[in-house]
Amino acid sequence: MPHPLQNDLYRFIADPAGGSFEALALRLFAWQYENIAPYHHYVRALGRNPADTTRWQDIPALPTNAFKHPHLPICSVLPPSGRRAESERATSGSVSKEEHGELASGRPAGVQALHFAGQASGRGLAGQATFHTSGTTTGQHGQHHFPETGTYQRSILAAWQQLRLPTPPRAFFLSPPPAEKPHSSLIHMFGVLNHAHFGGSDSAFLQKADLLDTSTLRQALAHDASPILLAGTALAFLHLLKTTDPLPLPPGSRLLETGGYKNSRRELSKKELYARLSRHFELPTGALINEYSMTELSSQAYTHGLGQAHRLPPWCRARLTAQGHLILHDLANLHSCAAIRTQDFATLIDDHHFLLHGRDPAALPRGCSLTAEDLRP
Amino acid sequence: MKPPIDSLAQAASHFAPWTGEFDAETLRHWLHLEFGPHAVGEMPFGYFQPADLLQPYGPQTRTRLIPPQTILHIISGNTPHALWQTLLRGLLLGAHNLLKLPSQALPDIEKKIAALPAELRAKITTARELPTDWLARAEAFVVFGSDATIRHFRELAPPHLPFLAHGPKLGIALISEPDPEAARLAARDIATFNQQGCLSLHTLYLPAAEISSFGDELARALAAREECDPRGPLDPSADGAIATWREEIRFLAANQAAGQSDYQLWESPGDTAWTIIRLPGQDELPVSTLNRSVILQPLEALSPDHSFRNPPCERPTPPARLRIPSPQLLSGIALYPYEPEFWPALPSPRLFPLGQAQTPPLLWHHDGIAPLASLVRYQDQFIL
Repeated sequence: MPHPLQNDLYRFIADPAGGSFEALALRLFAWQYENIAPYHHYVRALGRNPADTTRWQDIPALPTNAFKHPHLPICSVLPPSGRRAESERATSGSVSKEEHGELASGRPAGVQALHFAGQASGRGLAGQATFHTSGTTTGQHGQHHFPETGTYQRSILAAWQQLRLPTPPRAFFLSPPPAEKPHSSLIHMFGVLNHAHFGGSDSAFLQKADLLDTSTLRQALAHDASPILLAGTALAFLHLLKTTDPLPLPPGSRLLETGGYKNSRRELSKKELYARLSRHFELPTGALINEYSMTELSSQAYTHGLGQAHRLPPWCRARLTAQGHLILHDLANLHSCAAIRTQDFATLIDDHHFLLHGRDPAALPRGCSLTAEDLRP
Repeated sequence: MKPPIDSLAQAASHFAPWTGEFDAETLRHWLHLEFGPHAVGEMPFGYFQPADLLQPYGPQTRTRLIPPQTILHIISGNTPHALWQTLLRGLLLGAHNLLKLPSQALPDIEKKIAALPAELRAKITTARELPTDWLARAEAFVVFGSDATIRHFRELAPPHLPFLAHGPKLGIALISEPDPEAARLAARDIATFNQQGCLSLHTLYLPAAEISSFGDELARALAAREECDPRGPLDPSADGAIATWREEIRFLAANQAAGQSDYQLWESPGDTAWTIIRLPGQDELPVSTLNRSVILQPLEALSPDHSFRNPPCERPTPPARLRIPSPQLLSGIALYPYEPEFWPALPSPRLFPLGQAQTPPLLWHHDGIAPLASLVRYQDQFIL
């Protein structure tokens, strides 16, 4: 039987109007404080605790770099419903006894046993997984452990529906299938979307053995004029622009791009990229969708065309640091940490909308006006 | 027109903040050191006169020194030091100097160059965007910047021409006997120019047992420095880099086992004015977030089998060898106390006393390169 906190989160994701984000955020903070040892110790070091926290904006955010230290997994498993708290620590905050976990020895019980194999995800699998970050900053790969990916799936699908994202009959993904990249949260997401919305035989993952093969897509387009969703990283689209002839897509089609040009040294402004994509695929820029996501999160924000704010689903809210870095409170990060401090600059429109300015250039450690990439031998 | 040496000597005050003080005699001495006594002896008025400069050079050979007529300098935007130092060298060689300035940084440089004496000004052309003909005009290249910048210009420059590259570098300090004076001197090196130059100290190595107390001392020294020499405000990006780094270290420090102190954080309260971070030894040279943020690491990490305090309270014992990570990135190593003979061979082009990181001597071998001799070419003539 699912834990009450998980139940309430699922209810909120399904029907946000029927619950309170703040109440759920504070309960989740109290649970994660008690059960995720690295987060617990960090919050204590800040001199904070759930008992003194009454607003979601005051919940301490964990920097994304915290996920880059494998000896400190940011993860715990919700105990089954009805299990009594075994913690000897003082109860705090509004968390109920049933919601207490197992922080008796200073480390969550579940953490010691975390050796997720990263199961072949997609096709509706909701098992455990460990997703890796791309290691763009220092070469260190971060790890986000998911004891179960069902919550992530709910977040993906509910956001897709509630944010009114397109569901044309077919989808093509500029990536390998999830089974080949079990540690990619993005490809897991593609797999979930494909399974839920586009699982027909006409849909396909176009990357095989590190090669992007568009022949399947061209054949499909030749035989069927119904609109498609074409999804991939900005880098994959850039590769496509450079290596293929123009590929007009049927009217009503949509492009979903995400991820920037990680590890590539390629630079192209968003405006230029969209202009080229628009020409190449004969789509209006309004048909181009950007997804803001990161491995450390379980929810995504979306924007259409250029110059528009990204919109978050109701179970994820945004605020800014003093310097303008984006902090996201993603309740779907049930088993890790809901409050995540990014190194992306943004302007806040409201709790659910932000204008993204991009990765802080200083996110790369520098010396003598140079990047860490330059400094690495 | 006055000869370059005299003109340069009279204009020394324009250069001195970035090069150090000099006079005509110093400049002649410099030429003497890099080109030999004949070079100076045959330039009594300070002119380079290559046609007349035929020096004996081994049996049956004499050589003619051929300085570049035009040097293209690619200037980075972090501090003005590189510009004034490379310009001085170019002028001393008698070359015309094409200065490609950073597109936005160093906003007042043109004004300062305009204030130079006319005979020097005539030898300088500046541009914020690279004119198309400059690459073809240059007979030598001096490039400051990132690896990508250096790669770019190395591809553009004809391979037979002199090409001096000054890429990413940073400084470290080896402090074998930490004390409050060492903290004060380190604070000076860290605060001067806010670590914007390649000479800046990023990491201080000291005996592990003394890192905590030295961190306290350094925190006091940086706080005192902030009182009399405030760092000033930063843009959100630089400020955010420090804030983010602090939070990662706070996270790591909070999660180390009881009694462990691999990670420690000292920070200015309420702002990012200064930051001291203790890290365990690493395989790569750690890089700070600049703007008065510095890393402390154990000396023992550089020589794992060696105890620097053996027994306690006596002078440290020298290690047989040191393994300094990423030595190719070092611009220099500060020593405290300053006893170069104490250490085994150190892999750095510059050793200097702690507290003098930002003030290399005028004649220094920048990145281990002879800055004048590396820009000239020679013609050897066989003597019958």
